[in-house]
Amino acid sequence: MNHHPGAWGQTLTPHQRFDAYSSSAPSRYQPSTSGSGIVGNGNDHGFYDAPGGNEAVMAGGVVGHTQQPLVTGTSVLGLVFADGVMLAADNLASYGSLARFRDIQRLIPLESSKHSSSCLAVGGDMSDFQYLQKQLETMIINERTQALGDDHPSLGPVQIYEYLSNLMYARRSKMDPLWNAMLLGGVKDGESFLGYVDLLGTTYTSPTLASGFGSHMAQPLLREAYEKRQAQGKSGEREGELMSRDEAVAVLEDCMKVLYYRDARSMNKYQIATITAQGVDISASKSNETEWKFAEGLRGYGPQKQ
Amino acid sequence: MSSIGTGYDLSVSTYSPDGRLFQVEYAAKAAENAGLAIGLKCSDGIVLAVEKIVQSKLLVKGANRRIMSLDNHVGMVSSGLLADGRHLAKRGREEAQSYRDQYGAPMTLKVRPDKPASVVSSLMAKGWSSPCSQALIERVAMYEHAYTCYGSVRPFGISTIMAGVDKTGPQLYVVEPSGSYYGYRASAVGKGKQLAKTELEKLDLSNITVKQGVMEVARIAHLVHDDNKDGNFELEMTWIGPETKGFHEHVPSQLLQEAEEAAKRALEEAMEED
Repeated sequence: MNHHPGAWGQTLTPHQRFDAYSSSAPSRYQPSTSGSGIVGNGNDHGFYDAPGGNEAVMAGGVVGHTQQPLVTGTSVLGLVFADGVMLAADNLASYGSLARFRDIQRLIPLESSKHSSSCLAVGGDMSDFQYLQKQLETMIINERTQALGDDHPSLGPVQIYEYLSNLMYARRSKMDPLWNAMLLGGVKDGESFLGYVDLLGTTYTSPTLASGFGSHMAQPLLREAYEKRQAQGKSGEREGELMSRDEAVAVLEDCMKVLYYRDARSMNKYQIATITAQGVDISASKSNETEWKFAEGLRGYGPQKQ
Repeated sequence: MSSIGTGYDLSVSTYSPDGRLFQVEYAAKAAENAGLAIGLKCSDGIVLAVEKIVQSKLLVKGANRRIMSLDNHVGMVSSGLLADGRHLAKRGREEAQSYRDQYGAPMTLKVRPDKPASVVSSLMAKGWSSPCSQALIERVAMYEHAYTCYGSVRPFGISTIMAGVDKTGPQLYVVEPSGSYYGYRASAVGKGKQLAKTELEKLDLSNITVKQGVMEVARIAHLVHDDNKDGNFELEMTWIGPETKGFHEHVPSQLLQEAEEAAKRALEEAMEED
């Protein structure tokens, strides 16, 4: 199971296709050969042993699960700033290397109330993401309706993150992962939260986060900017240790530009979500100025002169 | 009571000779004697309120809330047996959620057919379900009605106000233990509902906003309540309106306090005039 973004949408080599731990390996779900027909054996009345009566048999003796994503979104970024958290994601959903859907919002506001607001930024398989969004909305409405009474606590970003990571881990344990890498950002009672979850159920939190290609290219830039600002705050050079709104937007814009230059599954059209105590604000789509003159000298790009 | 001793009031599956179901009528009695609940449909939303008699000084102030949410945009409050109300709310939540799962949209309280009645009836003749059968209020009312059809069950001992704001605007309904329901601009259930309804009738119901509604409902609740007879009470109030962005939420405690103080002042002034 190679889930590196570089492998998304690529055809698998026979070597890669062989996966001893895959649920499609023939050792699992052997169709039952004994006790066929309505007159079964043992304690059960045997009706469900009838040929074609269970999912494994109906699937031709094997159960297939998602082995690779189909329509995918690339990296997402997250950054804690003075008033809360910012998330960034571009508007592209690729079909393999084809830029297939170019107006997809990958930032979803989840909840916002007087006390708390949260937002999710999603990369990876878009249909898994849509399923996940539905699951989360169901859970959040259910919790909200019950929280109107005084015998039920209200949700915050930390609780949603816990639910999400449990869900992702449970799915990977069923060998049927939701093929996503996500950042959850939120603010509750003045506390900022930023966390990462992926298809393996891996979780970590940090004041700067990025998924996929972003974790290689944007994370160092985010971290550098964050730590520089922190040091300036500590030395008293500037007030506060966290970036202002404008500074945070500038850093994210810079990172999105670097990713657009380097990541072939990205697009120069993206949105930034700002999560503060006031709620979740998702910007209109925007793009960066880019410079491609240098590329003319590159082999394989401009007109070739051997 | 003419029904007692006749043998026709033992089961909800037996009519009396003059065509009544006494168990359903008794259930309505259970609802009538509990604390007052008020619902108000405004031009821009809805307001729900309930008068909670303080049963014991040991109870925590503001605890034991009575108004419930069925979905983001629907609230309900019932008067009568508390546990019956909670059970009905649970069922309502399940209905609203199952609608969301199936259709990917919030449930309407009562669908207004957007096609002419003749088209709707011809579709229904072809086996389509009635547009109302997919509406929350219908589903909840039919659930209550099922409990009036079998000898093995007890009808719900509650009158319920169900209100919300859906794509057709603010909506307010009252469901009775029999499973019948009616839409209102404003209504009250429970003890003192007649007096409360008389007061509600005096309001300018087609132009009132939720903010004015909160003040009026608080005033009516204080007016109807008789301290000497029923002891102290707490007022719990929720609303849906522009202030809550379409969500069913508690009225902010500061606004509720203002409304209650204004209500008490108005009552004192009225007393002095008499």
